[in-house]
Amino acid sequence: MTVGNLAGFGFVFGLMFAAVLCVILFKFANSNRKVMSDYDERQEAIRNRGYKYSFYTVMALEAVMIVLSVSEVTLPIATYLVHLGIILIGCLVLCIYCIWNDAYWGLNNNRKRYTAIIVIAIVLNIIPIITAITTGEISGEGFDSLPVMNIMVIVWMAIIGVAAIVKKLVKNESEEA
Amino acid sequence: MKNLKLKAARAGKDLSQDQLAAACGVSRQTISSIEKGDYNPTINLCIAICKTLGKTLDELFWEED
Repeated sequence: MTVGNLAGFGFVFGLMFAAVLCVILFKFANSNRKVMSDYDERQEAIRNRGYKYSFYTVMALEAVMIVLSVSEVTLPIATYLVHLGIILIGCLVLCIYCIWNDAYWGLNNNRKRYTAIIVIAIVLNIIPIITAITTGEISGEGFDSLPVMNIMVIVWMAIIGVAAIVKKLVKNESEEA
Repeated sequence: MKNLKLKAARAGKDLSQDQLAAACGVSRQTISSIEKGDYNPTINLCIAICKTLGKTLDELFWEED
């Protein structure tokens, strides 16, 4: 088994572990102990539109990637990071659209528990970044090292956080009578 | 168009948007959107709201000319 195969195996194992962890955490975070969030009809309609825009975004970016690939343009960043970036941008479109239209939080979501999960996710992403910085992995390999994925996820979470704060600040919803 | 009849009926029952939303199984923002006229609810939700507020569909959702 080569080092590349071993890394791939480790990556798949990590993803499987993360999937199991997500199921457990979501069950803990939802007030009715369901893995999936419940949304009302308006939220479902908005989320459907969000998924549509997200789909269009990913399709457009992947089309750009095909054009770049056919044109033999080499990017200064590893291909797997570009694809991760495209996935994250797609998710970003969905999240921001839902946040902006009050369809992000489900009816059964316990926000405090979700916040705790987000904090855990941030810490789990920061640890490999700090390790990579101290070992000099990032500065040595540049945009071709695995911890760059963690940096991208942290930036992605920060953008969602900023969107949520901005939404809260500009909320011009009429106050209850 | 704002649904002032819904807002008035809710206030008449002394219910907050949160309370009405919980009774109908929707989010507070959804009730707010219906009152502001930003969202047209399905007939199922209209019926749930009417039952909670003790009103008919005509009384809450029929637009007078």
